[in-house]
This record gives sequence, C-alpha cells and structure tokens, in this order.
Amino acid sequence: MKFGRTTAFLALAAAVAVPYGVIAGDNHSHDAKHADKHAAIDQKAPDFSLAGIDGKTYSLADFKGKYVVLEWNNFDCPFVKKFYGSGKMQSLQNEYTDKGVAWLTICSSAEGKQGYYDAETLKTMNADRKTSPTAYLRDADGTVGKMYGAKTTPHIFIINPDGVLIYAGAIDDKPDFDPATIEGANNYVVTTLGSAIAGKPVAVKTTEPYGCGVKYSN
Amino acid sequence: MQQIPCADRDGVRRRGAAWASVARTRASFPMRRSGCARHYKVRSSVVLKRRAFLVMMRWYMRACIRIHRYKTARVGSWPRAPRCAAIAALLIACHLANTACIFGATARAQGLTPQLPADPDPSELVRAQLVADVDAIAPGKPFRLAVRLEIKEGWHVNWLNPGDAGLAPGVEWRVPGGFKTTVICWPYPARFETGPLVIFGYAKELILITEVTPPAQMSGGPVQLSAEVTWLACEEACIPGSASLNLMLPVEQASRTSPWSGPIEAWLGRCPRPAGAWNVDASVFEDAMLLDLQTAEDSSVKLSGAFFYPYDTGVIENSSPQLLSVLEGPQGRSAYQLRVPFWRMATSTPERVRGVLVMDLGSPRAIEVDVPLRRR
Repeated sequence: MKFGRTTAFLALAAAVAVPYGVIAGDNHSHDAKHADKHAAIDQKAPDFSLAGIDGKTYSLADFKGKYVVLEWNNFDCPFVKKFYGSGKMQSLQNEYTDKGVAWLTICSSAEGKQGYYDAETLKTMNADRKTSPTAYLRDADGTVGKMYGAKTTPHIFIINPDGVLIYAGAIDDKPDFDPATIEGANNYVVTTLGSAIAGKPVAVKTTEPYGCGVKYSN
Repeated sequence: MQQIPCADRDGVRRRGAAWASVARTRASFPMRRSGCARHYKVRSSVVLKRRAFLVMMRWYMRACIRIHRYKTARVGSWPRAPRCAAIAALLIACHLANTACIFGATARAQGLTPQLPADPDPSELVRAQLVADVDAIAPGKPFRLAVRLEIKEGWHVNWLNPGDAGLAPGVEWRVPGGFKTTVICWPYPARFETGPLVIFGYAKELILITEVTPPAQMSGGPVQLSAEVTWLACEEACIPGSASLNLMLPVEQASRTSPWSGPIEAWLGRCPRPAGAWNVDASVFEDAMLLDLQTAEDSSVKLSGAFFYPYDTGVIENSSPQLLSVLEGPQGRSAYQLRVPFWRMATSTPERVRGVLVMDLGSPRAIEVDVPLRRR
C-alpha cells in the first residue's frame, strides 16, 4: 500500500512537471528559426513573419513583386519624433503606399524598454499620428531586427520586387533630431525608390544609420 | 507555436467550469476579446496546464475515495486520510501559484501592468555648467572657457562620431565682440555596449574646452560669456536636453586662476595629439584596414592595447574587436599592427584614414591619425 501511494505521488509530480516543461521549451523555438540568416546589400533579403498590431501576421514573402520599405521605429525616440512630429514620415508612407510600395514599420523594442507598447496602445499611437504604413509590426524579441542588423530608429531598408535588398541605412543625410533640417536633406527613401522605380541604378546603397539605438533585450 | 482560436478557448472554459476551484482561478484570468490573437504562446500554455490539472485532480480524488472506502470497510477508520487531503491541498496550491505566474506574464504582455515610467527630466540626467580656468580675465591674455556636462550614472553622451547610435553634443560659444575663440579638441572617447550596439562617448563627465583671447584693450566692468549647449543623453532610452549657460568674469590687470583650472587641464590631457614619435601606416587587407604602428621612442615603450575611432561614421564596424599584433620592428624596436574591420555594409573604402588612435602605453595616449589608405 505504501509503495502504491509513493508511486501515485511520483506519477502526480510527473503529471505536474511535464506540461510545465513543454511550455518552458516552447518559447525559444522562434529564435532558432531565423538564427542563420542575415541581410546583406544586393542579396536576397531574408524572409520573416511578424504579428502586426492589427492582429494579422505579415511575411516579407507576401509582398513579392512589390517594393518594400522596412522602417525601424520607436515612437519615443527623439529622432523618430523628428519625422513623425513634422509629418514627414506620414507623407512618405502616403506617397509610396499610393504607388504600390509596401511600407512595414517595425518596432524591435524589448518588453519593458523605450518604445515597447502592447498592440492596442500602438494602434492609438498610430491613429494619433495619422500614420499609414501597410502594417505596424512588433518584434519584441528582436529576431528580425538582429537579422537585418537594425541599429537605430529610424533605420531604413528597401527591398526590390525580386526580394533583393537595394538600400540599407539612414533615412536622410542630416544626422540630428532637429525637424528644421528635414527640408534641405537628401532623403534616401526618395532617392532610392525614385531611381529604382524609374529603372535607374541606385547611387547610394548603404549609409551609416543615425538615431537612437534599437532597444534590444540584453 | 500553434495559435488557439478564441472559440476553442471558450470551449475549454465551459468544460472546466464544473470544477469549483478551477473556476475560481479562471475568474481572475482576463479573457479580453480584443487580445484574442495576441500572446497565444502564453494562452496555449495555460490551456495545457488546465487540462493537465483537471485530469490529475480527477484521478487523484478518485484514488483517495477508493482508498477511503476500502479502509473504512476493513478497519472502520483511515488514519492516512489527513495526508491524502494535505497532498491534494498542496497540488491545488501549486496550480494556483502557477496560474498566478502565468497570469502575471500575460498581464505584462498585454500591458495591464503599468506602462514605462515617463521620460526622465533631461536636467536630472545631465547638469550643464559654464566654467573657466580663471576667476578674473586680463586684457589680451588667453584663458580657457569650458562647458562641463555632469552625466548621471549609467547614462552617456556621444563623441563626434557617435558610434552605432546617438548624436554628439553641440556647443555655440557666445563671447563679446573683439574676443576670439578657438575650439581646442574633442577629448578622446570610450566605448559603451548597449545590447549589440557600441556607442562612442563619455560617462559621468565631459568637459568641452575652447580657448578665448580677450582684446588687448579693454575697459570697464565684468564680461559676460555664454554658451548654448544641446546634447542627447542615452542609456536604454535617448533623451535630448539643452541649456543656455552664462558666466560673468571681472576684468583685472592680471588674471586669477580658478579652481576649475585643474579639471580643465586634466581634460586637455585627453585631447588627441599629433602622432609625434609614432608612425602610422594604413592599408586595406580583405575586409579590414591594417594600421601599422611604429615608434621612434625608446624600446621600453610597450603597447598593450589600442582602438581606432574614426572621425567619420560608416567606416568601421563599431562593435567588432580590433586585434593588436606585436611584430618584429627595425633595430630591435617593437612594431605593432592593429586590425580594424571595415563596416560590414560599406560599399567602398575611404581615400584617407582620419580619426583618433587611443593607445594603452601603461596610461592611455591618444594620437591624431590622418593618413592615406593604401590598397595592397
């Protein structure tokens, strides 16, 4: 009888432990999936899937045949405020999504760090700013950010309809957070997409991005 | 990572409702429709646990009842009953604790716990002061005027080339007509790692110095010196700040040294100097530039480490280590080679190498580098 009860208790302990262990292991499968891929200029841009704040899941592969702009974002960063406060980012989003370009805004802020918000709050923040990207994606574990080597907010990546990365770098050539410098700046989204859509070679393929550091988890 | 649709989860909820203790814990578990598609990882784990718990409890209580009946029939009482109940209680407690834990994680993921604290006050992160190495100025006699930034622990401001993120502070010096200012230098920076990024900048304190030469002929009262300073303080977050600073100094026949002359002198020691006895040669090798370093100084000089900070952004891979090799130099002197990896995304290499080389020669020494980059 004593043996039976001990066995029963051990069986129960195992019953408790097994599902809990399964759950603990589940959280890491996502990271491993993308670990070996890195973005490089003139190379195929690595595919990814991220949840949008609208509840849908977006993959880069969904936009094959279109130009895609990836814009790294953290609404609380002074350099990002420069472009959203002045309305410049919204006008770029409007202009290019109207031309059939897919514009994906991505936030890689880790949970608890600057720029991290739940989807509901981000919906409100996007509505307040009257943004119009194709989607706003959350990348709290930083997988996609690290895959693309996103360093700053903003940091821009442009992918052509064949899925090749044709630009990586700063949004413009005025590295500061003063909205007054937007006007005279050479905007690399405009120059890159302008050349590429017109069938001309892209003159500047990479620039050093400027802005706040992406708030990855440590 | 399987997504569990809302309808299915609701089904699980109904089936579980027969169990009073489980129903109680579920009541505190938020089932917001809006959050349905999100955080399914956490939610599916809750469903799994709940199922496991139900099976387990049902099985265990049946066992208890069977044992109880058996014992009651045989000996009229069952002394082990309290232990059985205690184990059941333990299991319930265990489950409740786990549910609370999962609920906490879900609540955080949904932002139910308080959001990030409001941005800190910029003036608490960086205190700006205008100081001079004199308490009184004399006509025609140059003195040093400096902006001192006192930086909160854990935060930093950037160097001229900010590294992977940030922005160098800016200073606009305002001096009366007839005064001349000469910016002296950007003191050499240090490196700070934040996640995968490397920042070039300063922690705790930065003193930016300019040399001011008053006119040879001056009359009258005190002189007002001013500076407009802007900066970006970064830690996890980046917070911009600015200040308008003023300093009044009397004019006397002879200048008087101020207590700030010590710290200003110390920061002047961080100015990069001309290469002097060091010869620097730069060449391209594969995906890096090689800086060949030789010194005409005596052979007891030992270089134990070095880092090259370029003035321009987008030249080097900021986060890559720079490896120093010791080579056999002429006349028994040591020669060194520093391997500085180029920025991974660079599509071209620069014509010249411009920047500051910080060498560890027992104490740090910074030299200015401006040499052509040879293609091998």
